[in-house]
Amino acid sequence: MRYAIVVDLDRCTGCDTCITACKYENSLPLGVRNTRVNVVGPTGTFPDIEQYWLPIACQQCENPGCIEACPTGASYRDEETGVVLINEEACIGCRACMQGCPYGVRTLNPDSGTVTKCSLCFQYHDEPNWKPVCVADCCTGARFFGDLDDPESDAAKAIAAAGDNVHYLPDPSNLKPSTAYILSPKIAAWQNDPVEVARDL
Amino acid sequence: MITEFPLFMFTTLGGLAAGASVAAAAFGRNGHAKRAWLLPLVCLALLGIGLLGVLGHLQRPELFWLALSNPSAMIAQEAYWSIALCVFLAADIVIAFVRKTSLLVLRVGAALASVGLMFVMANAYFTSKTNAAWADFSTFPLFIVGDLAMGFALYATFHADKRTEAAYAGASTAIDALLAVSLVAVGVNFGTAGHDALAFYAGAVLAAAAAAVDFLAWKGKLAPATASWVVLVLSVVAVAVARYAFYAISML
Repeated sequence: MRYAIVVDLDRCTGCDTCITACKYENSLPLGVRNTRVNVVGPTGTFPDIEQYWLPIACQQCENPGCIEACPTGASYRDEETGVVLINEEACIGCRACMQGCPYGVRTLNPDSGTVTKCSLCFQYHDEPNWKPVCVADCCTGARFFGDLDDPESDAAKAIAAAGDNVHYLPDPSNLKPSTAYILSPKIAAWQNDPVEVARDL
Repeated sequence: MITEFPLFMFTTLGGLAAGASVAAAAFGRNGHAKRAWLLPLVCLALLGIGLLGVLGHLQRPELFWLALSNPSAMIAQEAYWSIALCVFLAADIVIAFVRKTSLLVLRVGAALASVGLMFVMANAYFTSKTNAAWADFSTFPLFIVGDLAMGFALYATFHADKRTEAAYAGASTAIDALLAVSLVAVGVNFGTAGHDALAFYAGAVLAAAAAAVDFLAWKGKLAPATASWVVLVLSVVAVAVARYAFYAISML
């Protein structure tokens, strides 16, 4: 199984509902986020300029650099679902996993002294309609969730329907991120080396 | 204060101990048999302080022993090699204290553990996926040559007579010169990546000065004892300045 989120950037408006929902669900303190929404662009020359929103959370890599870097084994992959998780009990707050992740999706929670990241709301994984809160609350319907190995899952269907417009974050370390992004040329050209702006909220 | 200050302390003090252990294995301790335990004791103390400093890097230091769990993790590998070096140094201290001389096998064991430690210290940053400037081959000499330069200088403060012997003097001069070149390479790499490189060039100047003092002492132009302390200060400051700048770009 490879549970992951697919984000349709054609629909994402950068409203940050996903960030808010995640913070409430996971009781994250000020300054700590498991997901963020960056701006890519604007690119091009006026008046032909483009820009899109790029939500970024744990990419659920097939070869996670965080698990390799974690000295305690606190970062691990759930064998049943394939989800990359953190065992807070075993996390010593050394932040080696943060150095092992090129996507910057892990944050040190100063309250607990442990590292936090998106777990795909794993606390709900036993429920029949398991769905991360960012997917459930996305007001534009831009997020799809499910097992990428199950062609009937929402995520797999979204990827299949998008054809050539499916993209992944740059992967120079061969980590094989599972999170997929759908972006069609009518909205903007996908930027492999994006002019990316991380916004302060 | 940089966020990685505890790691800066660990790699600098631990690297100093590792480099000196290599020098001790390469050049022995002839002439100071009665105090053959002193250099490994100093090395053990430096490494111990460095390891204690690492606890400051952890948010939950009370669970530090868990860091030995995953052999593929660089932090775990640093811990393994550090423990091995501590064991060899402690055994060397005890044997040297009792027998008034140290065993070659223990010195060689300490040197091998030191080489392993120096390598994994460098590899920990070379394999970084967040800092392109760290993941460059110049990171290896920054740590390995830097540790050897500091360690050789520390060794000579215990054995100043070696300064006029061609084997040690030549090696020490070459290592300090190589450190200067290495720091220039790191500076060029950092500058290319858009980071401030001035500290690396300053370190290179200090390392070149250390090589010059090495050479003058070798040729009898400087008193060996004085030269030993001057080279120690120059090499340690050169490495410390460079590594501080190295850690300063951490994303943590």
